[in-house]
Amino acid sequence: MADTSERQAFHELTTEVHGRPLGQRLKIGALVMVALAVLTVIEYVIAVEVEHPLLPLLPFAALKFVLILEYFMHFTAVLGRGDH
Amino acid sequence: MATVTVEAAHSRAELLHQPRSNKLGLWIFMASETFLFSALISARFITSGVQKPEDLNQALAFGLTCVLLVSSISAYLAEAFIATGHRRAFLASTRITIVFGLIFIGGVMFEWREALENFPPGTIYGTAFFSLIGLHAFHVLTGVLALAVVLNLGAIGHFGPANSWPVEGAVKYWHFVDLMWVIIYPTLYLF
Repeated sequence: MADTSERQAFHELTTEVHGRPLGQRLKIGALVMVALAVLTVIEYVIAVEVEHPLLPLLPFAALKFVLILEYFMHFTAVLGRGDH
Repeated sequence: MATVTVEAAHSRAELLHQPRSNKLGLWIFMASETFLFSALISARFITSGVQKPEDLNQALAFGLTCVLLVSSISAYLAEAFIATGHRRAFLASTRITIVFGLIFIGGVMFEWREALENFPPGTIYGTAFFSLIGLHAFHVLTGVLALAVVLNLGAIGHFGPANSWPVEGAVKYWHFVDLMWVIIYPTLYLF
């Protein structure tokens, strides 16, 4: 019985990252990466096309900031709320 | 005998609390660094408003941003791989991250050469530009060094699913460097 629970614990330890399966982690990372790339391109286009781009750019920069903080740095896990 | 038990309990308590203390310490450190970056970012707006020189190398800055974003995903993978015991994948991802970090530093050096001619540090915008980019490039360099340390230790068998905190710490710092660039890039090039 103890052997089974130890094996289960080892299996979880070697297949999960921050409480999620590795495959799911990789999928999340790829999605965030794509989102960051798209937002960066949008930022660039706005900066080139718009005369006073400060206000239009702010939400995009803020969104990129939040995505990195949350999904790459696992900020809410530090606060003890959920685990990304 | 009793002393030994108390000592054992103390060391067990230390082992249990050490990772939490390490994490808290890293977050406090990153928070203090954020204040430093914030001071320079606000100085840029106070001294030169939203004015920026015409001869900024936008294409290079966009390329550097992409390099840093790609390095962030490879760092993310390195953390995920070591936490699940995939050592070879961890080593490869960390190497890729370091290479992208070095490419970023190379790009910054190239950019500085151009910037020194167009808006030298003596100008208002030049002061903000060189201070912010310099501070950030120094952080990228220290991030590369931290990753090189965990890469070398990982290559000789350190770290694994039960002990991945040092890698996590170095990777978090790398993401922090990326996070600061997300604000610095529009601050200096886009606004």
